[in-house]
Amino acid sequence: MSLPPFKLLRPRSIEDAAGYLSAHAPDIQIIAGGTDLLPSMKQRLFTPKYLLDIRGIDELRTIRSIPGHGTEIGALVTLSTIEDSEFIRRSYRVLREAVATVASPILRNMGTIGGNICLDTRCLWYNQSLTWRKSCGFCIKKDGDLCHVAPGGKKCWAAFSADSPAALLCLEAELEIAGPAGKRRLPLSEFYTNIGDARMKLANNEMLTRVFLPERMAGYDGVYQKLRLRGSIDYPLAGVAAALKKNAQGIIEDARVAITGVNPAPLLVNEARHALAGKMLNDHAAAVVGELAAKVAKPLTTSLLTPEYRREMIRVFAKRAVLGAGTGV
Amino acid sequence: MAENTYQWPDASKRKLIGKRMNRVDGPVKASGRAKYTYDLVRPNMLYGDSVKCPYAHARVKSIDTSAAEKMPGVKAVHVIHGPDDGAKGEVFWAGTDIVAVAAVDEPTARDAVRAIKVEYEQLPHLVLNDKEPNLAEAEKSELYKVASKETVGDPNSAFQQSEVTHEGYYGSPVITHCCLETHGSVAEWPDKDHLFLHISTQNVPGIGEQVAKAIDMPASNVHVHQDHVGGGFGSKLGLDPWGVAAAQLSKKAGGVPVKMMLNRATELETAGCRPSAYARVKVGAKKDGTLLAWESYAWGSGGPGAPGSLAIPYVWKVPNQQKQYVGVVNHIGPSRAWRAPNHPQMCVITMGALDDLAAKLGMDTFDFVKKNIDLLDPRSKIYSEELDVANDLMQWKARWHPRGDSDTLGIPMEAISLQIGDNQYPPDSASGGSSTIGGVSSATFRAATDAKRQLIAKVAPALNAQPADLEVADGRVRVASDASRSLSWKEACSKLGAQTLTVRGTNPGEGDLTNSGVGGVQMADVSVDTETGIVKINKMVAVQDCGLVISPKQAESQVLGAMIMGVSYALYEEKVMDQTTGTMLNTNMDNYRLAGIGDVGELVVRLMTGPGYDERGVIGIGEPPTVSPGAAISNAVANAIGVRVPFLPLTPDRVLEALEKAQGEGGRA
Ligand SMILES: Cc1cc2nc3c(=O)[nH]c(=O)nc-3n(C[C@H](O)[C@H](O)[C@H](O)COP(=O)(O)OP(=O)(O)OC[C@H]3O[C@@H](n4cnc5c(N)ncnc54)[C@H](O)[C@@H]3O)c2cc1C
Repeated sequence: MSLPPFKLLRPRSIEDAAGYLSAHAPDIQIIAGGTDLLPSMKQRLFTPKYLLDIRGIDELRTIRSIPGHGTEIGALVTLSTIEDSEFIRRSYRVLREAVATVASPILRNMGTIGGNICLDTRCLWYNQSLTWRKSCGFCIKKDGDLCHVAPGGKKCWAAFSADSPAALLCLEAELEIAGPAGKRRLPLSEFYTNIGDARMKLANNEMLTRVFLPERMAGYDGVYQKLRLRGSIDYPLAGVAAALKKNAQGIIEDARVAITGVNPAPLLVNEARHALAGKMLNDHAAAVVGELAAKVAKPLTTSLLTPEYRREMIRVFAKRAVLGAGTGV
Repeated sequence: MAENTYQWPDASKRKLIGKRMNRVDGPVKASGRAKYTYDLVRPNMLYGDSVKCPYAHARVKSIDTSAAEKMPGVKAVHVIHGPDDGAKGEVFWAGTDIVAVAAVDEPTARDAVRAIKVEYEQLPHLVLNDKEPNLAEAEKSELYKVASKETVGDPNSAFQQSEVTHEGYYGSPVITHCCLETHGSVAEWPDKDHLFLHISTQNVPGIGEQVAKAIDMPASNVHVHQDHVGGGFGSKLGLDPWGVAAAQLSKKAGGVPVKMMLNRATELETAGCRPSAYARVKVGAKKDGTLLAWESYAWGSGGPGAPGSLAIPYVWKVPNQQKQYVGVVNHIGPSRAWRAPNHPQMCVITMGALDDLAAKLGMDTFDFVKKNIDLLDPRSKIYSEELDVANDLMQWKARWHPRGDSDTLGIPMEAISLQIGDNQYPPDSASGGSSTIGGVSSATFRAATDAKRQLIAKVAPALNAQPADLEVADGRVRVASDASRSLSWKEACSKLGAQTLTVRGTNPGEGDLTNSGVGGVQMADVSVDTETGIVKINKMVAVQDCGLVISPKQAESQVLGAMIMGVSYALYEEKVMDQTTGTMLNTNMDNYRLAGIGDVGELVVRLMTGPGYDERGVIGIGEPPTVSPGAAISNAVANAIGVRVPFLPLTPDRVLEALEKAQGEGGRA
């Protein structure tokens, strides 16, 4: 399968990029590492007239700590840079754990954090060749008006399938977004729509430039647990991130749990925070969180595994993630 | 001394045979310099594409290519499957090629495909796979081919005598071949009578004739060339419709090269398809483990032509048997030979049932096999020796424990299975049926022997000796009794003058250089997470006989590759069909999963060599080691979790389902 034709634009600054976006939207698409976009273009899921290659914008390649505020990660920082960062491992461990499970080492060398946050949602009926999709009458998400996953339904249920956003939700990350009117900031928890075919609140003339990790969330213990069939490489079929902080007596002071891979958006399990705060960490507390997480999970048949199984795995992995985060495993 | 017959040299006289040598083409392949058919770009080359039928079962009613033919850049249009082709235009699987086009570039070819109008009449499809067919209904339906019942000995009374019996389900789904290089070719006509074909094939010598026949031209006018093949595994032995189409398109376009390679989705959908095999099996034995009886009701699908019967029980000569087989005609795709055709499927069924029986007897499968080793005639001795070697490599006896006797999480367990190689296929000229080494090395050896004889005859006068007195050693031709009277290889060859020696070796031929039928033993050590159902391979051991080992490194590589392929089909591979649309759901490599290096665990290979093995001559190694990984892994999982997961692949949801079912039945089976 070959790529459809496009014109490549290579801005060197955020301003130039924003200019191109405004000039050509909606016929333009951002490419960072390209690890997700290029295979999708070959399948004709995207056929933009212009590709905006943002890799020339050097200021988006750094991880910077701003004392008193937190840490800022440029959208172009690769997943392997985050994985290898001793600072991230020490301060925001859950992010490092999640990033390290993405794809394979070579894809992490290419793939960026921005691309991971903006990753397209996935579905068995969507991530297919044009010929294949055509033979099945297309679907709501692309070129059609029916849903093979929820027949009769009008909503797209394609699953959000990136790993790092679950960790970033636990860390209360904020996004910096650049557009024609300059920059705006938005909590990550408000960025996603939970709608498979319109996954994020990003206008077609905007781009993600940076991610902020607040200082108050530094030092939490964190674990990411991922359901995948192969140990070597697989998108998450269910993923759970847990971050928590204990006091000297072993009582949990604060905790966050988030899930990904099952719904059209990564989601915080809000009740987990209250279920854990002030408690000693034990099997029972972890099991309670498992139940809470499973309640939030709404997988459908977007993958080859049954929805029941994936939901059950959210329960199992939430339990394990909380226990792991609490014991520093 | 000149030999009168062909004979492999004695162990003491072997120079290169049995030495660890690197693959000659290893560096070019590893560095990406090797050029495959897929890589070819010929001058003025056109790009082919095709209209494919979107339905699993349909009839082509009409085709209108007029718009495509008028498009600028479109150089040829060729109907592959029109309303009058086959059974009145009937199409039996989704993805069948209907019309091919050749154009100046890929986008134009794609546009042309889109401009072609094909009208279909949709027909009902069947893409069910693992469901047990009802015999009475199957006998009445055209979709089932009921084979006649087979009986060996007296199964009824044997089951009555059996003190322990076991009944269970076993099976493997349809999987696809998944070659690294997709199928396809580049065809061109240097003049109107001659076809020059670059093609990705396992069958360089035979494919030309197949093409010639398909387009009605003399085989001698077809020149086939291929530098490297990116995998075939049995799926690249025959000619495909797109291969013929490339030649036809090129001819219509005035002879310019036409490249027609499948993309990955089409490759997965239509270019490989190992038939499924399922069975309900009953086995019976005496309390001491003596195996008495086998009964099976088996079924399987292989696309439009239902597959023939399965040779189960596999390898085991169970004295009393009763067997019934039903072939299912369906629309999953056309079946192709897959590395040891049907053997892995038969092994999964047979060894699964026997392993379960051993568990019910409270016996270690190792002891069960040894107890019944005579039923493995004529290779009982080989299997017995291999079991002992494998036991050492896996520390089987020290580590074995009864089934399900383990903690709840992360339980490493072992299992064992037996397999036999399959050189029943006559060695042919294609690279398939594990005949390459038998065919090629024997032929090469004969050729080399002949060449040596002829060379000696030529140079004998120069050394003032009789040919029979000469030998070739250490790069020299010398008088056997007086090493000082010698010529270097180069000097000797110069005596040939302008006349070169051309010698062609054949196989089969004179002399007992090859043998057939090999035995192998594999063991697997797995961990199963009983809360998630995920299976992890810790270690696998393969002990393999392949007669005389010519190149140990390559032979071991074959075994390693087979084990990796085995892990894939045991844990991941399945052609998943959508019942409503009749199409394959996982036509990409993120849902059609193959094992990565991180998934295969530690792999240990031991080839049986020395007396008892070498004198059998070269046999084959490509296929035999793929036979047992599925059974070994399935049995290891059963041992770990205490219950059988009936069907491959052993996906985590299936593992959990089997566990839950066993718990629901009040304890572990
Ligand atoms: C075989 C395979 C396995 C994979 N496995 C995983 C996995 O396990 N987990 C996982 O999370 N991902 C996985 N991926 C997906 C992908 O590799 C990663 O998510 C990666 O981080 C994407 O980043 P990228 O820079 O390559 O994104 P790109 O492909 O460049 O872009 C992805 C999307 O984000 C948009 N985008 C990129 N940057 C920006 C920006 N700055 N602002 C606005 N929009 C932007 C693009 O327009 C595009 O829609 C896998 C991919 C492959 C091919």
